[in-house]
Parts: sequence; C-alpha cells; structure tokens
Amino acid sequence: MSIEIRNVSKHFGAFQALNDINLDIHSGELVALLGPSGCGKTTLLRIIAGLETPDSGNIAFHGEDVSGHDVRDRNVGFVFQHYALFRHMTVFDNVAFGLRMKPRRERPSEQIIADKVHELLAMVQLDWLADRYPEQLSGGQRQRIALARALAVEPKILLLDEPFGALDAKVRKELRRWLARLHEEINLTSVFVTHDQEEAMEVADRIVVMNKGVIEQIGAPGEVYEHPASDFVYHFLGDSNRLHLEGGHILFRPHEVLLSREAVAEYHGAEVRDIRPLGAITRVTLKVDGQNELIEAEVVKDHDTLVGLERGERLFIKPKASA
Amino acid sequence: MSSITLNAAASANAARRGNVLGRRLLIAAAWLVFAVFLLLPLYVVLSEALKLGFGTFFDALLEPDAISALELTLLAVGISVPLNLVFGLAAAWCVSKYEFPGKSLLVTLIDLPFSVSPVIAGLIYVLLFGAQGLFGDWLSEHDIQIIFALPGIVLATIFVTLPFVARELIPLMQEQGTQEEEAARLLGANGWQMFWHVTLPNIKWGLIYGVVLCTARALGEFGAVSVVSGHIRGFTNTLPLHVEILYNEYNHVAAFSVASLLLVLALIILLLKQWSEARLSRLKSDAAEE
Ligand SMILES: Nc1ncnc2c1ncn2[C@@H]1O[C@H](COP(=O)(O)OP(=O)(O)OP(=O)(O)O)[C@@H](O)[C@H]1O
Ligand SMILES: [Mg+2]
Repeated sequence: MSIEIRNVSKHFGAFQALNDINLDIHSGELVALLGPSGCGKTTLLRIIAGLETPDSGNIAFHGEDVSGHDVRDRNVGFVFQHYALFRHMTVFDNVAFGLRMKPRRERPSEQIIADKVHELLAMVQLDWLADRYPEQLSGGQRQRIALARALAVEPKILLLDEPFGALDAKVRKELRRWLARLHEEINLTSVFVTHDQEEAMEVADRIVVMNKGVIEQIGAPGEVYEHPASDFVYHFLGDSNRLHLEGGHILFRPHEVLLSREAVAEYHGAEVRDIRPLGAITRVTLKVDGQNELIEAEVVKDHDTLVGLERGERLFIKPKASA
Repeated sequence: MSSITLNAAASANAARRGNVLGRRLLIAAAWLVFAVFLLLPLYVVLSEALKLGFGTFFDALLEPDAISALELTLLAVGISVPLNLVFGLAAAWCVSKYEFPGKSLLVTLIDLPFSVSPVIAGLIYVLLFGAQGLFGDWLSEHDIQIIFALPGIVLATIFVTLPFVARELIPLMQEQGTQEEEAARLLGANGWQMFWHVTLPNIKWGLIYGVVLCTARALGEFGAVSVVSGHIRGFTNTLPLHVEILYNEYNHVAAFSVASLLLVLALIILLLKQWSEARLSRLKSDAAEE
C-alpha cells in the first residue's frame, strides 16, 4: 500500500516541527527517515500513523485520503522506540492483543489466535518466551516482541521509530538484516526512523534525509551518498574533510584521497598526526600546511605509503575527485 | 605513633557508642509518643466501652439511633466514594494524558479541600443551599432539601475527600506516560477496551490505595458534615456525630461503644491500605528496575 504525504506542516506552540513535507512512498518499499535529533522524524511518523494531527496538509494511503481516519481505522503497525509493550501482560497476551480487540464478528477463535501468536513468535524466534512478562526480557527480545505484536493484525504499512536505537552494535546489525529480510518476505510498505546513516544505507530502498523540519533530499542510498543535494546531506551521510584552497574549499570523504611520500604537483604537503589501523583500512590523520582543520584519510591497510610510516613524518595528499 | 592510632580508634568507638545510644533514645521516644497518643486512647476507648460488660456494649450499638447513624454513614460513604473514584480517575486522566490551558490551576484546585478547614467547607454549602442561602428560595420552591439532609452530607463528604484518588493517580499515570495507550489504539482497541485492558490494570493498585484512603476519611469526617447535618437524631446523624451527641449527654459508655465501632472500621481500612500499599510499592520498584 502506497503512502502519499502532501504539504504536511506541524507546529508545537511557536515551534515549527515540520514544514511543508511532501513525500511519496511506493507500495512495498522500505524507506528510511534519516536526520539529526529533533529534526521531526518521529513527528512525521506519528502523523502518518494518526497519533498526531498535522496543522495542514494530508495523508493518503493508496490514493485514499486518511487524514480524517482515526488511528484504529488506519491499520498501520507501529513499533515504538521504547517498545511500549503492555507491562502487565505476558508476551503471548501482548502479541494476541490486536486480534482479541477485533469486533466480535471479525474476531478469530482463541484457538486460531493461539496458533497465530505462536506462528509469529516462531517467526521472531522467541516462541520459548511466551509466558514471560516484558520486564523479564532483554532489549533485543522486547524489540522483536513489539514487532510481532504489530504484525499480528496484518497491517499493510509498518512504521518503526528507531527500532534498533537502544541496542548494542552487534544485535543492531543482526536485527536490521533480519528486518530487511522480513520486509521482503511479507508484503509490507515500511518506514523506519533512524539517525544512523550506516543503518539507513544498509537497509533502506530509499532514504529521506531530513533537517530542521524539512526534507533535504530523497533518493536511493547510492544516489544520496554520491550526489548529495546540499552540504548538510554530504556531512550527514558520512565523515567528510574540508580542504581550504584559494577562493573556497572542497569537501571529500576520507577514502577519496591520494597519498604520496614524495612531493608531487597539485599535492598538498601535510604532517602525519596519527595512524589508526581499523582492520581492512587504516586511517591517517593529517595536518595540511596552512590550515588548522585536520584531515582524515582512509586507505587500504597494505597501501604503499603506509610502509614504515611514523607520526610526525611528512606526506603529500590530493583529493581524488577534485570536483 | 601506635598510641595515637589507639586513641583515635578509642574515640571512634566512643562516638559509635554515642551514636547507638542516641539511636536507642530516639526509638524509645518514638514508641513513647506512639503509646501515649495512639495506643492509650485506643485502650481507653475500648475499656470505657466495655466497662459495664458486653451487654451494654451491644445495647449501645443495636439501639435504633445508632443503627440509623451507621446506615447513614455507610450510605454517605457508598455514594461519595464511587463519585470521587470517577472524578479522581477523570481528573488524573486529563492531567496526565492531555495538554490544555489551565492544567496547573486544575492540579492546584484539586488540593483545595486539603487546605480549607472542613467547617468552612460545610459553611460554604450552607451559604449556597441553606434556607437563607443563594439557591435557598429556588430549592424551597421546588421542595428540594439539601442542607440538613442526605444530599448535604454527601456533598460535604465529597468535598473533603475529593483529592485522595486524584492525588494518588496523577503521579502514577504521569510516570507511565501514554505510549501503551497509543499502542493499544494502533492495535485497534476502542476507548473502552483501551481503558479496561491497558490503563486500568496499570493503575489498579494506586486506585485501590486512593479509594481506601478516601473511604477512611469519608467514614470519619466530622467537621463539614456536622455543619450541614443539623443533628437530627435518627435522620441526619452519622456515626461520628452520634458519638458526639452521646458524649455530650454524659452517656460515656454508649459513646465509647459506638466509637469502638468506628475504630474497628478504621482498623479494617488500615489493613486494606497496608496491603494495597505493599502491592503498589512492589509495582513501583519493578518499574524502576526497567
Ligand atoms: N508534544 C510535543 N510538544 C512540544 N514539542 C514537541 C512535541 N513533540 C516533539 N516536539 C518538538 O518537535 C521537534 C521534533 O521532534 P521529533 O520527536 O519529531 O524529533 P526526532 O527527529 O524524532 O528526534 P530524535 O531523533 O531525537 O528522536 C523537537 O524539537 C521536539 O522538541
Ligand atoms: Mg524521535
């Protein structure tokens, strides 16, 4: 089911949280809302779900305007940043909740509900936790239960607010790959909020970069990374260096750099401040002559220039794509 | 050198001994105060009540005026506590789940009955609904009696017990936030289902605690009720008023017998309070662990 967001604005008091947002999310897409803290990602997600009403503009699902529809009629799955599991219910009852709340005519029998809940718990690989209470679960387990609970009512749209925010790096990685697979398997349109660009790049079909209540750029991960629409997007999507030249500066990424031990034309002389082996690559921190801002260069670990390189030695650098 | 350390150790020991002594004295003083001001009166009430034996004791309780006072008290409690439960829930819900202008004023006003003397609360109702009061003429035209009748007693009781439920629930509900309710709505629950399956279980123990406190106060309320009741024997006397009348008539045994009935009710409520409080604090420590 596609989502169309038209001219949506939202104020909190005098503060403008969203300013004229326009966004089309296609059916079956997995879209990331990416941006710094406070830029309005959660607010936009809540407006799509109907938990918040926009001051102006409207939301349509598959062409049908749902602006006037109540939360419970929109049939979206929503996973909260802090999960919001029902604390006095077991895992089983949490997942069964949506099915049990259905009007009597549509409500399945308890037997069918039980089968469905166990099927969902098996899908999130937590069937053995059915009788526990939320407080007895780890963060990653709560996360998956929250997901199972949201999926129980078979929503066409799944909204996730920083689904992996509170988890450690390794669990995060596992879960986001798992989510991407899940999204493939069941036919869903998903929007997830994150402020981690790596997460957005790895999982999403398209990335929506937001800043201070406006959309800066919409595009596929490669597109926004290679062709950022603004300096903000450039900075936000990865580490960046700034090299001052006569009449301005250029921006480049740490890996977009050529290094040499000898002076070469168009190369800039620099002093090595730090050398960090990071596995497959090594990061060299450089102080270019005539500018105080340090520059980070990342090269493969067996790069020629690294052999026997020590701090304090001189190197010569040139940004690769001097565009 | 070593003698200095010894001395230091000795004085530290002395200080500790001093601490222990001080602590014992303090605890003893606390018990003494408790005994003189709480246990002794309890003992006096019961011994006075039973001075002439169980026969007179039960006679005083089974006397028609006493029974009608008990009935009136239970009726007033039975009406005012549920009303305050509903009001307290609604107020706590508004305050903790919505933003609206005048919210902090409302929270302050909820506490008003705590700071106003109950006698004044009673007088307010007399001034409003009494024969010479603001609505007095209109009420007498329509033959409605509020002052010196059950409605007045209920109103006065509601006023003095108004804050208990709301006060207990507001911090609890504020701490719990709105996310679980939002999750419930997203999963298709209607307002009633959300309240019944999500909100109520989460606040259950706080609610019971508030209701118990409210009941205790409603049972024992004297000042406000005294002003609006008119002390009509067998009609508008509640238990505390009945005790006072008996006492003023030098009928000490009967007064203390009825008083001990109130005492027993209070003790039952105290046990209920203890029990709900224990559940509540367990709940809170669970929440804190998260
Ligand atoms: N209920 C509210 N009342 C007042 N201001 C609000 C409210 N909700 C959000 N805001 C403000 O709107 C702005 C956007 O908030 P939002 O929660 O959408 O940010 P976010 O992008 O999700 O940030 P984060 O990454 O930190 O979660 C923030 O500056 C926030 O202070
Ligand atoms: Mg947020």
